[in-house]
Amino acid sequence: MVCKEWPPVNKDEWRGVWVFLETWGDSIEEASLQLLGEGRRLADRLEVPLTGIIVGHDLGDLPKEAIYRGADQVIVADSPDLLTYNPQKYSQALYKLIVKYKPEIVLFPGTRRGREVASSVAIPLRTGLTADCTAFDVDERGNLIQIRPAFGGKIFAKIVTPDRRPQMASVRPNVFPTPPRDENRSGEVIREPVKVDPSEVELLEFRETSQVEMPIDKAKVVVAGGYGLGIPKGLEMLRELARLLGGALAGSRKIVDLGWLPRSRQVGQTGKTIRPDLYIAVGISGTSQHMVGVQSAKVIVAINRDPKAPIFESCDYGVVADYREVIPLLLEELRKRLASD
Amino acid sequence: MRILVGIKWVPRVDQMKFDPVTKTLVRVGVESVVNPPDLNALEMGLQIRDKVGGEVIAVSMAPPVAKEGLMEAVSMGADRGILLTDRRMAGADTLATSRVLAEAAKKLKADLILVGEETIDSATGQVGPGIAVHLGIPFISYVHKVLEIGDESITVERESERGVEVWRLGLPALLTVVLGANKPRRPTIRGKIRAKRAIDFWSLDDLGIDPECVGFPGSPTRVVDMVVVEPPKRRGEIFQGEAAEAAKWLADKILEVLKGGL
Ligand SMILES: Cc1cc2nc3c(=O)[nH]c(=O)nc-3n(C[C@H](O)[C@H](O)[C@H](O)COP(=O)(O)OP(=O)(O)OC[C@H]3O[C@@H](n4cnc5c(N)ncnc54)[C@H](O)[C@@H]3O)c2cc1C
Ligand SMILES: Cc1cc2nc3c(=O)[nH]c(=O)nc-3n(C[C@H](O)[C@H](O)[C@H](O)COP(=O)(O)OP(=O)(O)OC[C@H]3O[C@@H](n4cnc5c(N)ncnc54)[C@H](O)[C@@H]3O)c2cc1C
Repeated sequence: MVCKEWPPVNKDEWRGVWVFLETWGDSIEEASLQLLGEGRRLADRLEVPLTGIIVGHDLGDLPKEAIYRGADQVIVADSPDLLTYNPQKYSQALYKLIVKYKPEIVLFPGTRRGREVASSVAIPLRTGLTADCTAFDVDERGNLIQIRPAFGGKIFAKIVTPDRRPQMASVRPNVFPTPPRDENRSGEVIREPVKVDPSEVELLEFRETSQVEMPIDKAKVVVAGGYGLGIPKGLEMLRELARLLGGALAGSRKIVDLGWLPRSRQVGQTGKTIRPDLYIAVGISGTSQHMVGVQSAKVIVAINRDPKAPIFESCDYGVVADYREVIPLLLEELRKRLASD
Repeated sequence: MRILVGIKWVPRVDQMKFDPVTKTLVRVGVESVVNPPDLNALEMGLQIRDKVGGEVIAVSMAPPVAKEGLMEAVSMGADRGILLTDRRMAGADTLATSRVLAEAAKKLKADLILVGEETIDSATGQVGPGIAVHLGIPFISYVHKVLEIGDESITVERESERGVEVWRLGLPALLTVVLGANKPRRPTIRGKIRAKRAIDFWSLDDLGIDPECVGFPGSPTRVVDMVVVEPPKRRGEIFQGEAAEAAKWLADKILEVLKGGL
């Protein structure tokens, strides 16, 4: 017996791979572009088209970008009411188009907005949504195999949605590489006017935070500070270390919550996943929620004054010391040697 | 104002250690706790109640052991707790979990529902939005501050990847609350005594949902396999000694990495 609240699904009618594209101003978010790369691979494997889906209004040439990055076509859910992001309106518009076109797979960026829309759309469709996937495969029956970490990255679960469609999944930024841009690709842009109900949630104000320093997900070297720094000023030493090594400055959630660094510099389960060549963690205890974000770093260095800190169990090189003593000496040592090279 | 707070009783994943011999995750002796941001959701609810009056009810869908989590919520100041517990609710994914919690919220005529941003075990962050959409009420995720609350609406602040956003939601509404949004108050002795008699148990029959729509049958996803991740092998060379020596040692290592030698 199947739950009577569930709309019936004939799986054969559902075809194609969709990627929900999050837009900010006149660009498509990086995490969404990355999904076009992985979506392309899945679509080729299943021999179906790849569609980028954008919710918005007055988008100009923006939809073409998705074609250049690998989509066969782009559908724009279009209405003046969709000019700015609204979780209720956006998910309603997307829901209508999913029901109309019946894609078998819909991928979402695992950003805050992406997660809101994905979670909302899954409910009226009564379908499965797998969060934070890190790999996909297809089984012999054509079901999407969704692989995701759980328990702070200590296990990987393989999840399928065998009987419902579409199969929906979200993916955190930087899990997949950004596909190359190819202006020679062509494809259709379909405008779908949609009507959405007025919403009971309304954006009153938006204050953009400036992002001038090097983003942490692009840097080869990342120096990160934690609560063990004691005071925000402790970050100055780390900023200098990062500068010397040509790297970027990051932090644990605890110091980001305290406002010492912007959210875009947080590493971990609810922050960024990064894979630098070198990660230097200073005054960070090393909980699984933090370490899951740097699992793929090539080399991890830890400086912590507590020899029992968990980070020493998952680093390559560790120094048991007060950072206030060792960092100034390290800076001096590095300056000397970098100068003589 | 009637405020519902979702409490999930979760294992302390930090205590789960990989056993290199058996290649499994050792789960014996791992304690359980209230999922950390749920305490921030609770504190937010308590502050609103203390300001505008009303009642805070902690709710959990879980096996009977999770009563402990609800008792903790009551000992911190929640008025009462309701454990939604029934064998038929087992095996739920986020669709089935939010279906059950939404029904409880409807039955309790909640004005405001608060949940944590995500859990430390399966960490989907999907249950909160799911509850709201089942109920047809507005929601916003990742809230860290309530700016204003009235009879008809609530105004909140949240962070997105690009900046800070202020949202107004008509009531009833649901918010997911971030870890660190506030400082959860400590349990009191008086609360602890009260907690013993403040937890009700509701079964599926009390909620009146079709058993096919909850638990395993009501879940479209299937976990087909779980693989323990062997933590990446790291060198684990630890230097303990004089600071000047430590700095030299570390500089050697760092420069070798930069040259691509390590
Ligand atoms: C749902 C959820 C999601 C989360 N997501 C994330 C996430 O994305 N990222 C994240 O980072 N955390 C996350 N956390 C929080 C995480 O569990 C930890 O609380 C946090 O990472 C700890 O930060 P910390 O290491 O800076 O601070 P602490 O744990 O307080 O550690 C400070 C360390 O500094 C050391 N120290 C103190 N003084 C000195 C000194 N003078 N010199 C050298 N060392 C010193 C101490 O020995 C200690 O080990 C999450 C938690 C939850 C519940
Ligand atoms: C390894 C593994 C992976 C999984 N992956 C998925 C997946 O990708 N998709 C999926 O749909 N299901 C998944 N599940 C099932 C999922 O764990 C359950 O549905 C669970 O009940 C809620 O999910 P969550 O912990 O992610 O909640 P979240 O959505 O992260 O929880 C957010 C908040 O909602 C409230 N809340 C959550 N659960 C309850 C509850 N039972 N009672 C009261 N309040 C609650 C709490 O306030 C919590 O902080 C997975 C399960 C396992 C074991």
